[in-house]
Amino acid sequence: MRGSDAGMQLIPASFVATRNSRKYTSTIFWAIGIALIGLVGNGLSQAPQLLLANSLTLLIGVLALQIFSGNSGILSFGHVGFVGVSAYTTGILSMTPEIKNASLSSLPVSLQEISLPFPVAMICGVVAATLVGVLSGLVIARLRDSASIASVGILIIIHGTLVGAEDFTRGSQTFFGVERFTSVPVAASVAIIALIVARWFRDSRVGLHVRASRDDVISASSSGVRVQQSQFKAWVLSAAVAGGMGACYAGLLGAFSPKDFYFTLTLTMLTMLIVGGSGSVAGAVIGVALVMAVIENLRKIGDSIGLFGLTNAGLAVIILLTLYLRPKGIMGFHEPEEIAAFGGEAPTLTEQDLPDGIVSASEEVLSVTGLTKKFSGLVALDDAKIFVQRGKISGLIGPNGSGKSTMVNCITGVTKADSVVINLGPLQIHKEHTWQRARAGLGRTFQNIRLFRNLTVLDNVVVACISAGESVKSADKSALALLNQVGVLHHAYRFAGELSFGDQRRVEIARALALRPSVLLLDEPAAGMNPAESAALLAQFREIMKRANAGMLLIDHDVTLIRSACDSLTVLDHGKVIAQGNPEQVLSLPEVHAAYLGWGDEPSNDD
Amino acid sequence: MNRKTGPLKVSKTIAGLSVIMLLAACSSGASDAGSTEEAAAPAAGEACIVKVGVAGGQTGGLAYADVPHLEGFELWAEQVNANGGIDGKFTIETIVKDSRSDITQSATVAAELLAQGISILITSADADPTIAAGALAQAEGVTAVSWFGSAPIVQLAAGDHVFSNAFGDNTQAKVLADHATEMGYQNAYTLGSPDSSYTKMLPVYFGEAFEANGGKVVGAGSFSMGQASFSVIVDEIKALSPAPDVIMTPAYEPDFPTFIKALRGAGITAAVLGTDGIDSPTTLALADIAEGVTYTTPGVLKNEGVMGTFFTDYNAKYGKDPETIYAVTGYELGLTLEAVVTQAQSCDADAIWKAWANLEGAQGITGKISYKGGDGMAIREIALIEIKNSERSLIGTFSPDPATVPKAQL
Repeated sequence: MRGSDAGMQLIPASFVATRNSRKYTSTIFWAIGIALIGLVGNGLSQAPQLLLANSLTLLIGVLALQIFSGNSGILSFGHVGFVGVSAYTTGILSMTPEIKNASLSSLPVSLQEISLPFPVAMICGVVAATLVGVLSGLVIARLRDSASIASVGILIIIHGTLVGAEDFTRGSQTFFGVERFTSVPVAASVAIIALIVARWFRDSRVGLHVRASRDDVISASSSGVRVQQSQFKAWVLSAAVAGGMGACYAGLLGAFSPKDFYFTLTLTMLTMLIVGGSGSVAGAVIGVALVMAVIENLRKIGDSIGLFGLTNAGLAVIILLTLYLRPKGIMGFHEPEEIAAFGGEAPTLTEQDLPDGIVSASEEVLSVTGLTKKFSGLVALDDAKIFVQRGKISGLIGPNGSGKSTMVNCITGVTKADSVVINLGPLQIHKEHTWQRARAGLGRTFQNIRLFRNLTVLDNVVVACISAGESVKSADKSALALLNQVGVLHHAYRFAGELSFGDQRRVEIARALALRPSVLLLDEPAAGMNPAESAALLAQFREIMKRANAGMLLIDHDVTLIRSACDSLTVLDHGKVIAQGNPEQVLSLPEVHAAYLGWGDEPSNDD
Repeated sequence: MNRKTGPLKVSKTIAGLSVIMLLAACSSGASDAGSTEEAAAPAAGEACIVKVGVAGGQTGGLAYADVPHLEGFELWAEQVNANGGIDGKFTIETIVKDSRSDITQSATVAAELLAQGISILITSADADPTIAAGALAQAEGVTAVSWFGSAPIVQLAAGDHVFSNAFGDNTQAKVLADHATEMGYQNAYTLGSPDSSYTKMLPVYFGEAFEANGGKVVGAGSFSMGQASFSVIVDEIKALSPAPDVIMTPAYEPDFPTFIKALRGAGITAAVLGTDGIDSPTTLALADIAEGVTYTTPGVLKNEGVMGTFFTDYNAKYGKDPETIYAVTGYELGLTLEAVVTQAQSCDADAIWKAWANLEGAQGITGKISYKGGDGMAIREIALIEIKNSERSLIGTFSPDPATVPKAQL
């Protein structure tokens, strides 16, 4: 799958090998491009200057949308509201008292007299947008599926406020008299800042966590991601960047009204982001360039031949083509340099990078007692208990519907137990969230593999390393070591969704290990594997246990695997523990036979 | 492998294409700039071409007004050029660029048109794009005229080179207030909406003019454009003491029909005054409910008299009857330009501006049109129409003295 190809030769593999070098390459490349536009644009006549300044202003807003919507996967309709808040703030604070006296006579006296230099007013605009972002973010962070709808509400509320705050905004009437400060170089400078912020955020701790939650919220929480908090931070940062657009917008024409910051602008910006590909900064840049180029060229052709609907028709064709050919946008979820990095050399590790295994005395790392859970009267778990010791594998078996998955969900906090006492080493777990339990040392895999499919294999593991408190740089190193440990190091730069089933399982285990867990909960890790693969996996488990110095709770149907792997075994039936102890002894009990297979024979593999 | 490098290649290609297209877009703008040189105008009285730049919304939210205006204007230009131009020597060249009803695009196309050395710029029938584009024209010393933006603030916001072909909302309100006073109404209720400059300011101007006439505004309500029910507002009107004998509102579709149905449904019989926004078949279709509703409009679109000739010419050019009065006011903007150029005897932007600002009594289709003393707004006849038996019935046309009109408010 790797080798030389035309796509990657522009960027040498050695240069794209590390996250930082990729980030620098990308940022410098785009920044130089925008700076050139800024320099060249300054010498053009007024119309192309306006076109470029407007395009760059839009780019700032689309980058803001990319920071939140692109990384979190939640489409926001609210950002144009922040643009409006910032534009009005910048306008009010930068206008001269004379102009304010004429056009904003009802403005409070204290504001009447203020006339800040334009750049200072722009910063105030960004601050105002950020503050509104903080307030609205408190709501948005708590939502997931309905967050998009809520963002429409935020746009409507901000629009209503701008219309209603007549003393400050002149209501629905045109707000005018703002200095036309936004030249091409000014817009280019702000766009470069927005670009750096967006690109750096993407690979930051929070950025990686938000992207993980975009792909799978439950699996992100189980990897220690504070989904709400990460979403909140992304929202506030993107509101600030949208404020940058507003500050530029104020000085672009010097006149605007609330209707300019409503659905039309929202849809224009979303179109740009969706066409370019919301998941990457390159997508935002390409989306703006392409859509603006199409609008401008088709408009000129339309004007010259008197066919005025051409622009809209062209835009419609572009959107339809994109949705048909590339549903994730032209760039999809990946930066070009990430795709190039995948084509580069697979990472290798020196022996020193490999952590040494430590085996300490066996002790109880997880004890769960009195676990009861009812679903509307149906008893799913009834006073169940389970124990895991360091360095040992505890098995959990039971027929379908016996409560195994409910037990794992209650232990990890995905489902709230009615009553339970959980001790995780010295810690007693009460109402802790899933992410807190993960950070406290509960690593897990899922029955149906839940990787972050649009993240690289490496980033899947890095997400959890970050949760364990590592910096991104050290997380990269640790993640590579873990991938090496489970035998998928050569896939580090591939996208997780593309791996074979068995390799995806291994990545999931590496991700769980990245939390430096004291207990690993593996939910049917051998499902879908042939006997040879299961045996290899078992050998790996032993090795992993040794290195991680953890205990393991293994849930599986594969009795051969359970028998050879486990040091102790618990059998669940109808939510009750019917047997617990040495696997050989437990498996020979008649009640286990009866429960597991429905008759008195020993359980076998062919169920 | 190929599958992986695909996106990179595609994105590079697209990125490259986009840059080339953007550069193309910019460079043609640059070449526009070069042509400014041509604008060396001939001496006054000599034949020349009047370059008219139109930065209107041929598509988008303002097309409903901008497109029929352009149709009327182009009919006029065709007729003038067929006769050898204004005064037989000043031919018209119309350059149309679509602003897509977008404020930024309006400014961009206005800049392109100005770079082409136009003598006059025409902008959308709305204040925002007119102010944005007008400010650029102002800086170049070129006259900018809005197709029909009725907020009387264009000169205050953008400068003395910016005008509007429309009567101001303040003047329209004055006509309604005078009518109310003449009808002997004492107590008025006004219903506006903060959602647009038009719906917000008209009731304010009406109230001011009505009280100056000696009437009293006993209540002022507010609605949200597109709101589902007016029952609360109607209850509020019902509870007023003294009860209003006239209700004035600039609401239009879909708010006006909803409001008047609720009003009449509640048994309130006070007279209702509306503005040019309700001059539509929808209002006539309200039948009995709208009976007696009186409103202002630039003119009555009827295939008779002077307008009958316009109907014939329009039909000959476009193969259909004009559907809105905006086709007529577009043609009238042409007639205004004709009067201006006749007076200026020049295609020079500055000469045109001076003549425009001082224009008095140009003959339009709906009546005479002046600009002198109008603060940028056209001083033109305003028709007052009453709905009788589901038909428009002309009460008369009015042109209030600018001195008595409420002052435009920023």
